[in-house]
Amino acid sequence: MLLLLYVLCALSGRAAAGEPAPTTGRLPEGARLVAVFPVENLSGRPAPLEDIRRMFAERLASHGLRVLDDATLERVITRHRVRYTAGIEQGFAKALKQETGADTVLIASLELFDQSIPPRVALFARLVSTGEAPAVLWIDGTGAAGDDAPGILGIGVIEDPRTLLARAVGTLSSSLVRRLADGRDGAGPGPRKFWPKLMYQAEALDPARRHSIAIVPFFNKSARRYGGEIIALHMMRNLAAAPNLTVVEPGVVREELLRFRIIMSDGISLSDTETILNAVNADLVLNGEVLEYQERPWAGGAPLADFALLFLERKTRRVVYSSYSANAGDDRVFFFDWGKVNTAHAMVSRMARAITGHLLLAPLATEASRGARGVERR
Amino acid sequence: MIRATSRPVLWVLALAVLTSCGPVVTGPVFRDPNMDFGAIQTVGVLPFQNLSRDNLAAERVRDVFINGLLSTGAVYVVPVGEVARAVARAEIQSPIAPSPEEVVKLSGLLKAQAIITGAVREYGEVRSGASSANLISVSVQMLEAQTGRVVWTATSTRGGIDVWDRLFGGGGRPMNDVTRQAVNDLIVRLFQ
Repeated sequence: MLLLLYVLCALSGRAAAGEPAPTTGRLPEGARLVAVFPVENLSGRPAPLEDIRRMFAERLASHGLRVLDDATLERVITRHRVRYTAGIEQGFAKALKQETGADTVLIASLELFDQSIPPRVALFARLVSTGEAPAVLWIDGTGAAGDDAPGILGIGVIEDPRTLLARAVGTLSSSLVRRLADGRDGAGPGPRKFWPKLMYQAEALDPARRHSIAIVPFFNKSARRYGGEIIALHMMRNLAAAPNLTVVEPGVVREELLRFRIIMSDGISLSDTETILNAVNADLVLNGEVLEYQERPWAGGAPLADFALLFLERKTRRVVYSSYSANAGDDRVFFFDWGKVNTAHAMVSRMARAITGHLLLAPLATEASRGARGVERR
Repeated sequence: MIRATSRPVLWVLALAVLTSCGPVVTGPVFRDPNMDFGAIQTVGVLPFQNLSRDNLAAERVRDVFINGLLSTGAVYVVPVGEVARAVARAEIQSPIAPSPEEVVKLSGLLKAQAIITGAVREYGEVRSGASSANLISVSVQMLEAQTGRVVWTATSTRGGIDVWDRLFGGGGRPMNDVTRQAVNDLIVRLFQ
């Protein structure tokens, strides 16, 4: 009886933790050659970046993908004097393809690595094509805390940060392989409490055509280091998952910003918008401002996030969508932490999904769906 | 039993207690009767003056105000980056308090019919005894593009410690909610 109870407890913890199901899809022979770039550290503290990179390489290899060896990648990076590996620039993408034959690059960004008990980990990864026009083929992110699913008697609590990290890498690798194997997306409608608190939408994007979006660096006015980069990654992840939206590789946008020496003092101007969009041949530019991004202000507290963003259109040179979002992880949580979100990653992911959902809806549909509390009625 | 003569006294006492705990204070509004507000289609919002202790208060309130104004669909708000560029081009020394000449110049660059400036006077937690709550006080003014004169001003104060907070604690409502309420209050008065 006790043994049965133990098994049930363990299962409840694992199931609730959202442990990834084993991937069934195997890639065909002669699959793409992937170069795994050094991991970008956005956590603001020391982290086992090399271990994460190795884990990614191993996972991808186990799924049947060919991974470019470290020595070759190192040699090309050194030859081209590449110091920025959080994205890929056009020239280097072309060189990488020619010199190594790599078809794609995996770029991982570590958002959070907290070793305290319970530990917390948040990670992004994206796959970018090499060659003449680097494009984001896939992007996903995952964030988890050790106490996300404690189960009965706390049996499901994870205390080892490495276990959590391995699980995050496994989740992302499986997501990538699923995407490559059958093109499935995991995007779905977001909960209403994470909808933007204030929102403006000029008109819906034409669903019949594909729109490309250039994300320029967000202004970070929060105390969290790299808050702007993190929100931009969340937005990129959700926008890239939409069926008729394409996101320009941030490395390419960065290259153009440097080439035209664009310095933004307080948001992006219309002339800068035009310059960037012409350079990268995109339809919309996304810019934003992060005012708050906190994991847990105090022990046992809930994460906080507060940001505003706007989409500017190339054709009309006007704002087509603007929103202000603010949430806490314990919003509308009344009993026993039921429904509480433990990591800022998980919360902002839902906020970003809600924004993308509204961007794709017609204004009238959006207006009609504003019955939810939290979105201002006008 | 309460005697009939003491009832007015009780009413006065109750009213005094309730008014002393009232959290919502709405300030006066000025509207230029000669101004045609319907002609305003595009506005530029300049950075707000920050008179509170929170360094980010002015930017936060400005963000909420811009989004709130845009979401009405009644006016178009020029993006803040474009406003910053125009301020630099017009060589405005103090964008939080521009002169009428500077307003005229800025409006021309932004192709806006009005410029909005503002000041955040209070932002954050207030305490009274053992009770605490979030409070915001913000004032906004609209300046006409052609002459640079003030055509509309309004002030809103929201949040603060109410009876519930005094009796049961709880810390009041979140700062974001209070900010949105104050901004809503201002926008409603603009369109009255």
